[in-house]
Amino acid sequence: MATSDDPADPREIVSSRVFDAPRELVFRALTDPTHLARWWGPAGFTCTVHEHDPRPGGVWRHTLHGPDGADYHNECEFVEVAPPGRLVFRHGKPVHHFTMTITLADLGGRTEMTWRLRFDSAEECDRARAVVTTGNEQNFDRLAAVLADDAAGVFTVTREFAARPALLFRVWTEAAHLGHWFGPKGCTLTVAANDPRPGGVMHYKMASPGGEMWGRWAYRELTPPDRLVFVASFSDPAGAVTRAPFNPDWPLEVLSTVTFTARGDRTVLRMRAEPVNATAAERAAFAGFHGSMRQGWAGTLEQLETHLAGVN
Amino acid sequence: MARSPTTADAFNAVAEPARRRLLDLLAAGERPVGDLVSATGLTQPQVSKHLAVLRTVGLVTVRGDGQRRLYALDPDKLKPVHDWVKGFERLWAERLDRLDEYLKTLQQEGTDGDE
Repeated sequence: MATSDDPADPREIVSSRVFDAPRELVFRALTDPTHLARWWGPAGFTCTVHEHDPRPGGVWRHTLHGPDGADYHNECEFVEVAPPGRLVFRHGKPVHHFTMTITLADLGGRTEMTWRLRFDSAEECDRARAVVTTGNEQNFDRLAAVLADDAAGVFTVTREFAARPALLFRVWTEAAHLGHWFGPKGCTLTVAANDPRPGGVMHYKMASPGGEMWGRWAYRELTPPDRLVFVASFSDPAGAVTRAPFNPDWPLEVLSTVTFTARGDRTVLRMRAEPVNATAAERAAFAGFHGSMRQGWAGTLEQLETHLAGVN
Repeated sequence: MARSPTTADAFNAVAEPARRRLLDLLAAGERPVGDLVSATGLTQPQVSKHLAVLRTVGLVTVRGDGQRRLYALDPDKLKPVHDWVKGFERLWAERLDRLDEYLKTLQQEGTDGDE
């Protein structure tokens, strides 16, 4: 709280946090719209990026979806984009007008990120201070969690559906429903057995012109309509746990946690997958294989795509 | 997706975070070992060990001699990894797309029967 002796600018709110990741990764998290959508916003919010042009004068429009069902449409304009240490944008809508200056300091492989929100007036700053300060800390928590997941090779995905959690839960745990969405296009999914209770198993076959593959879910926790936890494995016709046909190092067991959170009459689905009872080789194989690895070296893949486009 | 059951392949090479970091640095262009050592904060023996693995699987090539050995990325060798990485993420993206369509079908049929 600013006092007459406080040298802090009364129009500014300053928040900072040290993150366990190098600056390049944090800068990418701030400027790659796919990555940004995973963590931008206060606790319980999700984010849809509509437009994102990280250059001076470039526009950034996104919607923050609040847990109570409200949507907040944000419009910002970039002022300065200077990797890997500085990002400045002007926030115009909704409600508040401020210039955000984000600086990243290199702490030898870790990063101190500082957010300075400079409002047009001290009064506007005072009105916003409490909610913005809390929101910033929550936002830092979310970034820290995403960086930790990426470093650990945890796979996460978040998606919103126009249906209530109860229906989502049933569609994930009832055999008649699973066949309609779980298998990839061109494959037929057959559920051979399903016992949706802790300790029960869902055993399925995926058949395609190229052959068939079996899998199983060993249920750990079912808490309708909120939460479903199972251990996913490859399998054989007898229902045993087997190695992945495509990679001997793929983990035998992948712990999958799915939550269904109501947002108005819609559901935010969050899925998290990570190896369990795994060897170091299995964890490394899993971490190396899924999309979040891209966060660690998106530049390499972009260069590769450019190169491949050139040779084709 | 059939692959030979060997640990000496690109997938296992990129499963290691330090090696992904080296590939990331090389993506911008070829670099001498000294650059890679200072950029990663690893020791020279550690960097050399990781580069040896990357060379074995063909992800990285080297030219020159002595202090001036320049390491470069071979992007063609990354392609199978790239395809798989996109594939796993895409697998779930497509599944959730189908889930979305299926839920809409259920609701249109009026068979959602919410509890």
